[in-house]
Amino acid sequence: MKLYKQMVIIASLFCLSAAGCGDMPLLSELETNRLVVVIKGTYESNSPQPWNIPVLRANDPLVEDDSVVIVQSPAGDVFPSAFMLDVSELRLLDVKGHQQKFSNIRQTFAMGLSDGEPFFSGTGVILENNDVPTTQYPALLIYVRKMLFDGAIKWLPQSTWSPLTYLDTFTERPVPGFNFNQFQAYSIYDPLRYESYLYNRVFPIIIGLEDTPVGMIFNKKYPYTVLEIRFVVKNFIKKFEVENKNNNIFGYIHYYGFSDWLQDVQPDETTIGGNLHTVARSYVPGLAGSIRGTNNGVAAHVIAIPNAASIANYTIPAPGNLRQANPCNMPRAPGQYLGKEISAYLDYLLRLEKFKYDWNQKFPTSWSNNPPPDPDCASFDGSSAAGGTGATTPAFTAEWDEYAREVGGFKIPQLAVWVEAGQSYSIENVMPGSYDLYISSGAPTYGQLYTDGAFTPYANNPVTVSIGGAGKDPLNNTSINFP
Amino acid sequence: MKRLGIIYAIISALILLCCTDAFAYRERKDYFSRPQIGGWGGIITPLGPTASRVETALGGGIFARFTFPYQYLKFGVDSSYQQFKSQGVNELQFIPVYGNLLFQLPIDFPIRFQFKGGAGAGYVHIKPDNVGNWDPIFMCGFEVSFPAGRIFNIGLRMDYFYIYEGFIKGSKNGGHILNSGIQLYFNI
Repeated sequence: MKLYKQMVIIASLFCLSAAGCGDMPLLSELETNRLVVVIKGTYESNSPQPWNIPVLRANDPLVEDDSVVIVQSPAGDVFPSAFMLDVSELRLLDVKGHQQKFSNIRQTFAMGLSDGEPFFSGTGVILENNDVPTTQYPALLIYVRKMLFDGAIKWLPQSTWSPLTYLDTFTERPVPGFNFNQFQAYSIYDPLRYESYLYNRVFPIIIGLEDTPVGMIFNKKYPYTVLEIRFVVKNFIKKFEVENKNNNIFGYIHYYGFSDWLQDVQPDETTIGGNLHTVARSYVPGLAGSIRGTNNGVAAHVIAIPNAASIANYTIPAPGNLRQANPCNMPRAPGQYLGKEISAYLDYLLRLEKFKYDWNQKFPTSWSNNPPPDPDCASFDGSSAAGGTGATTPAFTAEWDEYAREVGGFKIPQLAVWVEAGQSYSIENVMPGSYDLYISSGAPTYGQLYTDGAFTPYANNPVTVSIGGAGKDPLNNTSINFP
Repeated sequence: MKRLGIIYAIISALILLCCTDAFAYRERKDYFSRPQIGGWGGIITPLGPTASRVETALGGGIFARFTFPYQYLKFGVDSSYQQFKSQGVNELQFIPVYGNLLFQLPIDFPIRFQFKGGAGAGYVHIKPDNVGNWDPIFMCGFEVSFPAGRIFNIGLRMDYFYIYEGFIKGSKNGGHILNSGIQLYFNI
C-alpha cells in the first residue's frame, strides 16, 4: 500500500506542476507568422509606373531584341499577357552562415500584365513562409524553378515562316508560353573565361539585404516584419529567339524574357542571364515612416538611397564599357561537339566556320600593318587604361574587369516611386534613418533603366525619417518638393 | 453401463483438461499483475494544426506500472522523448511526464486489452523561437499485450496526447499528438 500512496503523490505532483506552466503559447507560436514575405514585379517599392508598352508591341525595336535575326518581326508575334512564376524555396542566410529554410514550400503564381494586378500595382503578392530565429540576415536565396511569359511562338521553316503556338509546362500542365529561366543561368560574357559557360547566378538567386550594415534584422518582439522582394519585370520585357528541335521539328522560338539592357544578348546566343534585376528590403510596419512631397517637373522616378551612398551604383556609365561598346568583346567559339546526330554536327561545323569568319573580321592577318577600323583589343593583359571606345590601347583583361565593375556594381534602389508631372508622391514603409533623395530626368525608355547623370539630387539632402514619422530635410521641411 | 462409464470417463477427462488450462491461465494472469517496467518505440505523429508545421517521426519512451488491489486496474507512470522535425526551420520537442490509469478488459483471453487515460505535464520546446515551456497534458490510449512467459510481455500501444495551452494569453490552439508503437516490458 505504501507504493500506491507514493504513486498517488507523484501523480498529484504532475498535475500541480502543470498549473505552474510557462506564459507563452508555444504551439500557437509555432503557427504564428511574424515574417511576411511580399514579392513584387516592379522597379518601384510602391506607386509604380504604369505599363508603358510600345505601340508596335511585339515587333517594336524596343521589344524585339537585336539578337532576333533569323525570323525578324513576323506578323504573327504577339506581346505576352501573363507572367508565370514557380518558386520552389526561399532561404535566409544568417550571420553565422547557416541557411534557414524558412519557406520550403513550392508556390506558383500566374500574373496578368496589367496595372491592377497586385504583382505589378505595388501591392505585391504574399509568399507562404515560416518564421526565422531572431538574428541578422545578410542575404536571401530564392530558388526559382520556372519563369514564363506566354505568347511564345515557334516559327517553322516552310514556304514561308509558319507559326505554331509553343507550349511549355507550368504547374504540371501545358500552357502556351516559354520557360526562359533555363537560359538565365549564365551571366559571364567574357568570351575567354573558362567558367563562361558554367557560371550560375539564378539557381539560387542571391539577393543581399542591405537594410543595415549587418543585413536584415529579424526580431520576434515586433508583431510583424515585412520582407519585400522585387524583380524588375514591369516595362522590362523583350523578345528573344532560340533554335529549337523539340519533337524533331526544327524551328525558331520567339519567346519573352527580361530586357538585355545591362548584359547584351547577341545573335546565336541561347543565354540571357544577368538581366534579372532584384532587390530586397525589410521593414517593421509600426516603425516605418514615409517620405512625401511634390514633383513639379516632368513625370519621373523619385528614389531614396542611404545617406552618402553613391548614386553611381544605381546607374551605369553612358557610354560605358558594356558589351557592345567593349572592344574586347570577341566572337565566342561554339565549344566542342560531343553528340552523334549528323544534322546537329553539320550545324556545329557551320557555327565553327562562322566563328572563324567573325574572328578573322575582328583580327585580320594584316592587323599589325593596317589597324582594323574597330578599336582593337591590342593585348591580353596589357596595362593600358580601360574605358571602352575612348581607350587608346585596350587590353583584354582591363576591358573585361571594367565591364565586370560596371555590370556587377549596378543596383536597384530599395526605395523608389513613380510620380507624374505636378503630382505629389509618397514613399511608403521607410525604416527610420537618413536618406538621400533623387529624381530622374524623366521616364526611362521601355526596356531600359538609368545611365549616369539621369538622377538629380534633392537640394536639401539628407532626409531623415523618424520612427513612424514623415521624412524631414535639415530645414525641417516635411514636404520634399522637386522643382 | 460399460458404455456409459466410458462416456463419463471421457467427459471427466475433458473437464480436467479444461480445468488444467484454466489454472494455467490464472497463473499467467498473476504474473501480469506484478509491477511492470518497460519501454516502447514507434511512430509519433502530429495531428491537426500541429501537423501543418512539423512532420511525423520516430520516438520512444519508458514506463512503470503497478496493479491496484483490484486486479484489472493499474497505475502507470510514463515518459518519452519526441522530436518532430520539418523540412524547414520548424521543430517541436515534446517530453511528456504523466500518470495514467489502465483498465484491463476482464475477459479470460491470452491477449490482454487495456484502456488508459491520464494527465501530467509535458515539456514543449519549439524552434526557430528556441523557447520551451512546461504545459499540462491529457492523454488517452489503448494497448494490446501478449504475455510471453513469466517475465516478458510484448504489446502494441496507441496513445493520443492533448497539450493544453488554453490558459495562456494569446493561445489559439493546443497540440495534438498520436503515438503508436511496439513495447516490451517485464513483470518484476
